[in-house]
Amino acid sequence: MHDAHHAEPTGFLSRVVFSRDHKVIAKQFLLLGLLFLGLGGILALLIRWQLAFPGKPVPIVGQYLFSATAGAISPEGYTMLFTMHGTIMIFFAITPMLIGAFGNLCIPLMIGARDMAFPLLNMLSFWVAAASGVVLAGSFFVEGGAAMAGWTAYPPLSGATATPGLGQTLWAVSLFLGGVSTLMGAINYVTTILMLRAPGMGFFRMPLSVWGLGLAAVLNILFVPVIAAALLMLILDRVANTGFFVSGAQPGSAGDPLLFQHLFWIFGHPEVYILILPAWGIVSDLLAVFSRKPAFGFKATAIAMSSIVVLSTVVYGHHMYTVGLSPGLGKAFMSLTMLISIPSSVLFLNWLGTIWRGSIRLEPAMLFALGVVFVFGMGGLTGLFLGAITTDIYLHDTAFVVGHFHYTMAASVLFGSLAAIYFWFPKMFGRMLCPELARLHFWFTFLPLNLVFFPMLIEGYGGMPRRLYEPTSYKYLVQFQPVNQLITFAAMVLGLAQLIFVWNVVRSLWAGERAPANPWEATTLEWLTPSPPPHENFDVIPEVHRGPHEHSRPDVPDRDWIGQWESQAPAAPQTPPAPPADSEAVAV
Amino acid sequence: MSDVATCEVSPVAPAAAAGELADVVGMSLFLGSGAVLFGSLLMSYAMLRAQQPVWPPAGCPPPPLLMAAANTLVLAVSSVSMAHAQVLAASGLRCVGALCATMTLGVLFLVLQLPVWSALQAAPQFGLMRSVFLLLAGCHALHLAAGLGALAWVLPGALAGESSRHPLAARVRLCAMFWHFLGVAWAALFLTVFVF
Repeated sequence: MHDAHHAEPTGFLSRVVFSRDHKVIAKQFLLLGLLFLGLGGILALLIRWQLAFPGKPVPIVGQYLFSATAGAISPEGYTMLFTMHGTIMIFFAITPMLIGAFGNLCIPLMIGARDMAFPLLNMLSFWVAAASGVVLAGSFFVEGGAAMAGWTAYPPLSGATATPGLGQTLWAVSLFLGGVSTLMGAINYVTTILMLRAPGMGFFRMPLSVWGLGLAAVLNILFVPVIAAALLMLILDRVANTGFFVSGAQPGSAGDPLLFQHLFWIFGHPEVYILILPAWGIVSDLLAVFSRKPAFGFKATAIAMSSIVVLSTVVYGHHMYTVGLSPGLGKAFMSLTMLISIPSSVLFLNWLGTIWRGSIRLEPAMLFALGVVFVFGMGGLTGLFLGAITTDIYLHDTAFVVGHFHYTMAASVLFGSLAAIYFWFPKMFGRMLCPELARLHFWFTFLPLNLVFFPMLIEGYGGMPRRLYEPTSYKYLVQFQPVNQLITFAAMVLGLAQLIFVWNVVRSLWAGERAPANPWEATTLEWLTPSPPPHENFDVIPEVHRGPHEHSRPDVPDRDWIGQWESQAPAAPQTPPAPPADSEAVAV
Repeated sequence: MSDVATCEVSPVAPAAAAGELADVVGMSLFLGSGAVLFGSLLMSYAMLRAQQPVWPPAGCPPPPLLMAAANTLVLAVSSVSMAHAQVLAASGLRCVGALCATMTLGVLFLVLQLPVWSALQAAPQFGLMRSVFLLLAGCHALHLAAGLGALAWVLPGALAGESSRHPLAARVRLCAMFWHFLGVAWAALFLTVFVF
């Protein structure tokens, strides 16, 4: 039934388009994510233009995009922009990049498997995601435009009365399809991790990236069905005249708009961790590799991530402090939320412990990993103000919330994705990226990014509401207009800086230096294979002899790393410390 | 779903066993998420119902208990025939009859629901009872149709005898897992929507 080897497909369609090879599917997801990242970024710049120069025509592109209003953004258009920006960035940029691309690439390679447990399901997962992206992108072009109810789509805003257009229905359908795709991927990831680990690869020998990706997949399996239920009811409310979220419109109807918020956040809070867990795992591994030290508190990190997974399922109410929850319930959610700071602090201290007195190599991937540590710290600390009821009631629905979740979800997760790209690009494509351009990219991303999101915290503290169309219409917000303009200029620099990245990738794909098997002198199994790895990854499945971060062992002469596949330290006079060839894969 | 690239280097038999186990694990995870889906729907129903002073809501006809009881009986019998098919397939015997019986009962289940679905056309729009039935029974019916599709996928193999690449018993077992899940989900719907 299951032969150890499958022949490599030869046709163009089966090799490149409808491939079942996890490495090809990873590239497809990466491309999908990067395209939507670009689109979501452009929408963000349009939002920023309106906030800095309210009502002024958008230069260059305005006359084409907003011809009806002479190039200016209308209130409806603005609502559509921020709705689609949030939706695209969360579900169609970050999710495909971290979970789709690096989940696919890393899990089989890092645990020593030939492919995913269900390659056909894996292929379907990508194509359903692509279809859902097409539905979402297509919704821009239907009558009435795309969705306008915010990325949270609370009824009654997302109901048939407030947003009658087809765009909002397509939004719900697209997210439902996205959920189906995510679920297929998650079932595959968990089964693969449970069943296909190489001999010797115990759970506590798995790299932390696999831990993060696997835990995120568990959360996906548990909570994607919850948002699917909410979306089903929303779609039925819109197209079949049911009344789940319609309150009192007709006799005998008794829907409850709050029901949607409950379901949305029961999913939505774990979703935050679904996105950040892979980034945490990747950062934990990268810090160890580039500090040339074992990951400090490796088991504690894995356990802390697991306990955050458990806690993330019981804190969703902190998104709903202001909807009229019973005060007792609010207190319970607040206490549970504050508990999350314990495992988060463990993670954070372990990262600092890993780099403490390490022989740090500031490769681009390391810069981005350190960037994650900083911005996640900012995001975590600002989260405390929103997790505590007393401060949240003041800060709720202000730009402070926007600053906070962009630090966690946008900045940390985006930096995590970029760190992953800079780290695994040689393995994926067999070419090295230019490190100088990458460093330039880092600094022109890191600095403007903080100039974008930190001032938002100040504006929010000053009382500026989020999703505001015309900030100058409030007298007390006029003072913030220079800040708004500063944010917008920083956002433009941030956007332009991504062109450095695009150029670096395109240049490397054609003319980059050929990547060796193990350019970073890392210890996990993917670096045993050639770059890029062949079909089915390993000639012979390697045997795993040690944990994932054995750097700088005093008993290993001449080099500061020893691969998970090596049974014993190489003999002393070894010149040069070349990565072992495939024939050495199974050690004696 | 069962095209497993396995890491075993040993001969085909243990590798096949590992692949079948992976299929069972994958199916279990899928059913776990299915349980969360139906659980979320039932929880939503509970929240809406709890806000009503009386149930069924004023002006709503009571749910069609007779149809639901007949449906429950049909699905229970189909679970028995499905289990029988699994036992037969596992011992290498012909299971075509038992599979066909299961499929017939599945179709009968859907046919029995037709009168209720057509009566829904006349029900008041936005009515809570109508909404709940449309959502819960509709979602279950769609999954049951998918289950019939899975059985149809197994049937040719059962007619032709065991194929070497996908042992019939393994496929029938996956179908049986899904089918029994549908039975349990229906039992939950029957008790919460129609009986109590």
